[in-house]
Amino acid sequence: MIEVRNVIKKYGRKRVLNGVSFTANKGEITCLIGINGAGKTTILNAICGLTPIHGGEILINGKPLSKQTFEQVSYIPDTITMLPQMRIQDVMDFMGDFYDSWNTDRAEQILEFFKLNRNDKIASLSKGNTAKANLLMGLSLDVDFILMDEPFSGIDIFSREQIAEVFTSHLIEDRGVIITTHEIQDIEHLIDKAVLLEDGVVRMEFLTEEMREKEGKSVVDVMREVYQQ
Amino acid sequence: MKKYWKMLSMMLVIFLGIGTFYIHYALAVHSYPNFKIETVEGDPEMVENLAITAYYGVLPYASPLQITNQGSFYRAQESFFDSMKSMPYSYDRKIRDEYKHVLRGIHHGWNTYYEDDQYLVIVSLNTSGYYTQPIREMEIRYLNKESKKTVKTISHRLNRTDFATIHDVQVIGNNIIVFTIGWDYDYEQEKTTVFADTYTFNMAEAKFVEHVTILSDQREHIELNPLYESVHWRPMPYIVYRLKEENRGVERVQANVDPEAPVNETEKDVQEAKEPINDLYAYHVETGTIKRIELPTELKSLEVNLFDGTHLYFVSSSNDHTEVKVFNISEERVIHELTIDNGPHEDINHMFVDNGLLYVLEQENPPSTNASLRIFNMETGEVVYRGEIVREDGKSEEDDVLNVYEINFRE
Amino acid sequence: MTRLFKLINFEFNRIFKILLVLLISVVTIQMVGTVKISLVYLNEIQHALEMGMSIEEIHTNYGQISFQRVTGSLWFVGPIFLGIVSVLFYIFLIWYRDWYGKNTFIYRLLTLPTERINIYLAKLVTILLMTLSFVSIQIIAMPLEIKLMSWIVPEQHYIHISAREALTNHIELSFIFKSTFTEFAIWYGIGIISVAMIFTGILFERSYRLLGIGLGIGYIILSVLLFLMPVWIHIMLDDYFYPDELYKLFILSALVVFALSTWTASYLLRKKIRV
Repeated sequence: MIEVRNVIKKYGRKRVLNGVSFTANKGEITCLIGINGAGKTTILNAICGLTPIHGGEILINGKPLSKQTFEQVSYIPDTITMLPQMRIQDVMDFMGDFYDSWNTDRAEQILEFFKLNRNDKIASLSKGNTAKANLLMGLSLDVDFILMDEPFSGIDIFSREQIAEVFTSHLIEDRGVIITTHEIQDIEHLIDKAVLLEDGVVRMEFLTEEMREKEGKSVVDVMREVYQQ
Repeated sequence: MKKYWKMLSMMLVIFLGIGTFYIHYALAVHSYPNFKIETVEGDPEMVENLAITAYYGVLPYASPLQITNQGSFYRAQESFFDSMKSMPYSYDRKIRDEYKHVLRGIHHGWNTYYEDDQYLVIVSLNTSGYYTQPIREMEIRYLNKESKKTVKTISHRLNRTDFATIHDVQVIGNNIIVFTIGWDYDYEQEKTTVFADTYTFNMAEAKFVEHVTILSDQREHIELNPLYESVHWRPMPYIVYRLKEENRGVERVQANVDPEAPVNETEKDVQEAKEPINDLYAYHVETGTIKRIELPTELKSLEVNLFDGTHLYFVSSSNDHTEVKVFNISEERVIHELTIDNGPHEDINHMFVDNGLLYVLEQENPPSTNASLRIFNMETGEVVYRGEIVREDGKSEEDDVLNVYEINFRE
Repeated sequence: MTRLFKLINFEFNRIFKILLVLLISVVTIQMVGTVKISLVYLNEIQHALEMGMSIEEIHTNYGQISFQRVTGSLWFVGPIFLGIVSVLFYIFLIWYRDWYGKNTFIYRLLTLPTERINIYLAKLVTILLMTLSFVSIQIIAMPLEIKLMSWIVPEQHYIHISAREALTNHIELSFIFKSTFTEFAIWYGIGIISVAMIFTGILFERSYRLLGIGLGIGYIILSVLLFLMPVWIHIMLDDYFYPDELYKLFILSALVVFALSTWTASYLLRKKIRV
């Protein structure tokens, strides 16, 4: 379980996160929803210790961030995190070299699934393939949690479909996922939990299934209620 | 391993490049030949506490070393930190090893020492303030050697703002006497005064007692210098000064000389035109009196090079021998004469007097590794010790050059 | 430990190609310079011979030639300064390229399952390797360059000096080539500690950005003052220390600065760094 407790983050005088709290469980896909600048990426960065927070705490399986965290959590940011001159094979070697949790078999499967060429250089990849390569790195780690920052933004329709397919496959099952997006439509049917952010606080946190069954509302319906009040 | 070949090969290049550079150096340093003083004649104990300081090789790549009767040690073979200290056989190093705390905080390298059975005195001159108005402060440290730890310090600011240096320090009874020389330029009269001063301090009260100018001169182009004694920290009955005319005066006289005149006449003319000043003055430390030394005619044309506190040693060299005339200051007469026979290919590189013994360091010319040390008894004029400086391995190589230049003691 | 070694290897491979190009150009430029200077000298001699000068007269007027003519020229010193400048430049680039490069590699570095200080140490070792590779290539190339000159210049005009003599007696380069290994180790040790200090300064900037520039500069000034502490103590205690003691204290204060720099860097990387 990833617990985000009362996290405060300031940029200068501006409070980007003003006491954000939510939890993300293993086996669930948790979606952070909010307009651009709502602090979605900041939360993911904070979970990985890539930006300092000014209050609150973040626990991963009950423990604060340490070097072990990165064998339990994998982060897929919205930019590729490998050097442009590296080939996909180099990237896979690098990952296998540094991460104990790297799963070579799974990496090969994903390579196959996305139809990526292992000899292509990162710099030469299209936007869609870059995102796929990024997913390849993140998903091939045997970790409990996967954090994805806007995996669908700026990507062609076919790539989107391919990526969305991943979520329903065995590549994700049993793991906990935190995903951010500002366009919910593509993945609404995939997510288990929605966390609505606005003005640096969590406006609402709910299980999508429960919401549909009890109140008959889709995520978009709830968003409309929350954001257009 | 394949992944690491670039880094590992670069590390290898670094290791080989830098490694061989320094290993080569270390090997070179340790392959320098060892020398020692081999006794040919006399008691080897006479050179027990002595080392000959020399250079091996040709400058600027020569390596300094010290040679004893046990063997030699090169400066370059000393550890980096030891090489920051003075040479092992040197008074500075000895004092530092024995009285480390006494020297703390004193200017290193520019001190004047005095040592007898009872006292050790170190004097230094600290200058601060502006160039135009310097503040000169004399710092005297002394200790009673029996109670090693008690060091006393007297600071005394000099009244003179003009240039002065300390050249000697002596102890008489309960007083420390510091000797300085200096010069002063009077802008109004456009005249330079050279002077020698003494500063007296009371040891028991750690107090300044008096300042006396013992010698001063206002003549043009005059130089005042102390004679430096062989063992500079020893108690000395006399301190000797030389007043000497600077060369400039002589040159001016020479310019008037008729260039067509025969050589011997020219020399005579110069002599007549202006008698160069070369006066010696002896200050008697115990009584505090100064007198002009009346030299016999035979010594007047000679320059004195050696001095041990009671005697002046006038040295004159000719082709195959060197004459040393020993002049007693209190008796004002030559008491011994000594002839050192050295071959035409041998230069005397260094002479040294201590305790009635004259140490002579000779070197073959042109330089090779052949050098020798002779010790003369000044009273009898006999050679009491003769030693050769030899390579320990007995080899001799063509380019081998050893330059001996000094005798140092470690008592 | 193995991860640190892997990181060092990775960082080193990133610079390897450019480093190789630089090393080759250093040697090439110096070789060209050696040939050029030898030929210019031979040309002078030729002219003098044509004007009817004897060999002795030529030697008094033009001197004989030794490799010192090359080491004194820009052909020799220029490439060395090229090396120095590139190392100095890379001290900054090695960090900023991970933030401002085409791809933000810093995400990956910071999410590796290893202590983050290893990133810092790997970069530090890379700078050291880079520096030492310049030094060693110079040491290796020198005898070859000297040999080259001895081939070009006829023996009667040529004075041989060894690479060691040429290097250790070169006043402008005396800060690069030390004559004893202890001095070399101390000098380069203090050098790498200074780099560590600058690295920590850079991390201040990377953590606090605009404010960090001030903090970084402040940190560097503070470290320099800390390093110079023995001098202050020495002056305050009226020249208390002997020169060798003072030197040892400098080594101590340098180690303190190094410890402080790595500790601060570790803290910044763990708690304050921003991507």
